[in-house]
Amino acid sequence: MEITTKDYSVWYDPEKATVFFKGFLRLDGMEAYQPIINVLNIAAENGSVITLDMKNLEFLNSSGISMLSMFVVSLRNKGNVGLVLKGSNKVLWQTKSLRNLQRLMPSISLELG
Amino acid sequence: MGHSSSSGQVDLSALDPLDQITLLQQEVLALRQLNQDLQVTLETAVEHGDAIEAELQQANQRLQAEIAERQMAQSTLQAILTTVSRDKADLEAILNLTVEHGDTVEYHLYKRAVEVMRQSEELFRAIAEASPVAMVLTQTPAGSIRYANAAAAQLLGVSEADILTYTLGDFYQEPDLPDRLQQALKQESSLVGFELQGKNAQNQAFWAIASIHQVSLQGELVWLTTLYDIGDRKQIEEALRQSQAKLQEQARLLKTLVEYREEQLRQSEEKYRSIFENSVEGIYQVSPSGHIINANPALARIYGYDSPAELMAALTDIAKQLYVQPSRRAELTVFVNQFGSASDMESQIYRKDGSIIWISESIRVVRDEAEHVLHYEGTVRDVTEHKQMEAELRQQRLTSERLLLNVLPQKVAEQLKRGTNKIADHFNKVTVLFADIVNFTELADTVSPNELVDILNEIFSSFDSLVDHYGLEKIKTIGDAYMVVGGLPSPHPRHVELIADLALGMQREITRFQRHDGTPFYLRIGIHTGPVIAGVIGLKKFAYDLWGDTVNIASRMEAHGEPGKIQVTQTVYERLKDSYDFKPRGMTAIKGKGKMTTYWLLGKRSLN
Repeated sequence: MEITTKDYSVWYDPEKATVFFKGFLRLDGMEAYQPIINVLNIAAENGSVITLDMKNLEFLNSSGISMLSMFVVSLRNKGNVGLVLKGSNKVLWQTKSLRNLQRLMPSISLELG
Repeated sequence: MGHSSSSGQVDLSALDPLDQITLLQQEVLALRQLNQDLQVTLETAVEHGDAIEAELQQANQRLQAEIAERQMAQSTLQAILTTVSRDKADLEAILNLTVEHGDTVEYHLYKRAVEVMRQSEELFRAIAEASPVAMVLTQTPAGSIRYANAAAAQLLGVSEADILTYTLGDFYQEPDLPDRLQQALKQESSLVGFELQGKNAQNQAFWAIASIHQVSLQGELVWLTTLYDIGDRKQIEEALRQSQAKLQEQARLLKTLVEYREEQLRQSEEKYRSIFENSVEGIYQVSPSGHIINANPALARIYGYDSPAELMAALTDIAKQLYVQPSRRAELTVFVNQFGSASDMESQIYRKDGSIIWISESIRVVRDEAEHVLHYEGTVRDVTEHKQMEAELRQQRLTSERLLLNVLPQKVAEQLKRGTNKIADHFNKVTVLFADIVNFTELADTVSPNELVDILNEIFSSFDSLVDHYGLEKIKTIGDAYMVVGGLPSPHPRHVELIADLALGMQREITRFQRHDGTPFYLRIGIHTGPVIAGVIGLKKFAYDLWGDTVNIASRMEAHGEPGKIQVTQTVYERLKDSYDFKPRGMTAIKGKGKMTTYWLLGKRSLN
């Protein structure tokens, strides 16, 4: 399962139970993010612990972080799926916002490299 | 039920009995009625009570249900409240997160934008300073100068510091140009490539191609004017005209050249076509799969076809159809692919009628730029005749070699062939035998020369076989005499024994022959052993011969011998006396040698 445009790629690798993000995500509004939410939901249904690898996601706009927040909340409410976030110290927004997501779901395991 | 003493009770005693009865009957009726009423009243009251009770029951149940419902609603409300509170907290958190995220990204983007702007300004400055084109930034299209690059300062004849005190309009020849530009640029955001005449600070005129663009500089809109000094226009136009004429001339020359080359090409093509058509050699092109895709008339003729077209239609897989040896085409292809070409490759091929001929072909591979094999080109000659001649020649050479070997010992023949100069060798230990058919010359008187030679040939041929058998060397025949040597040209330790065995064998062999009148032939044999000189002399009719005393004495042993006997010298006797039987002849006068002791060789002693 993969969504690719000239700006970004989002794909789900079931074997690694990981959703990979790459490039520049700046879709216009929450509705535009629906296809990506679908990918995340499929990942959440198919694994007891899922990983979102955003090391190569250089840019994420506010709609994007909202989408991610809501997904985290929905995962927390489900209660039976663990979440690992992989990010990069070299990308400024990741060092701040990914840590903030832990406030919504304290059990998030954060790996910043 | 007893009587109730109602208020209407009449004193019976005061009445007559009839009246009394009537009264009583009335009273009974009334009582019955009362009773009935009571009955009804009672039933009504009971029914009513039941109804009331049921109603109360229902009301009670409703109340109970209502209480339960209320309780439930309250807990639901509680739960909703909890969820809502949590959602509210989540949404607040998400909002905070989003805002912070936005701030971070905004900060990041701002920093980057500032950096990009700084870089682009630097870039602009660098380009502007490096450019040979004059660049001027003004507030209005021809207004006061904000920035001018070095090229502009030079063109306008002002120092870079002073130039900021001028307007660009100061340098335009036409006084109303600034106004016209202002008007034009109200509609357009740029004017590109128009020519204007300017004057520099020293009042010298110049022509320039100008362009004006509106650009944003640090958030402020300004006008960028570029002036490309085109100098003396006439000079430029003249140069242009000249270069155009030159180009036309070059184009004309080029065209002539191309025509000339084409003509040359056409001629050489014709030439090659003619060579191709008239060549006596077959010429072909064959595809990697073995299809002949081009063939000349000579090839068709060699392969036995009526025309090249017929040949090309027929030969689609030469590996199977053409070459007699099935793997031949594969061998040739491998070779040519490896080395690029192959010359004079001889193969047997089938002609159209199935006959087999020898061809000699030279092949080369033709590849495209990517090194893929396009096809193979080759030339073919029919070498069947040549091949036959070659076979004949080989046969003749073999024959002459065999002949040479008959005349000379192999070792000597090889030496001669190698061109060894040495013609004679000294051999210390050899044994020489002479044999002569007794009275053979007398036979010549009674039989024809042909018959004579025939019988001589038979006898000598049987001797030749014996000589071969013992590995000895026949030197020659002289008339009816036969000469053999042992230990030559290769030394042999038993040369005396071998010659003795040959002599005994020859004496046995001769008994198989008879004269036509039935009388037997007799053989006189002489043997001597010692040193000889051996070699080939002369330039023609090579003959290997022996010289020396040993040869002479052996010849004398034969000449002074007796028919059917073998005469040997003392030396031979000494060598053989232990294993052969001899009979001493005594002293014999030998021509040129005086008297010698000789022996008759009788036979080989049996091992027992």
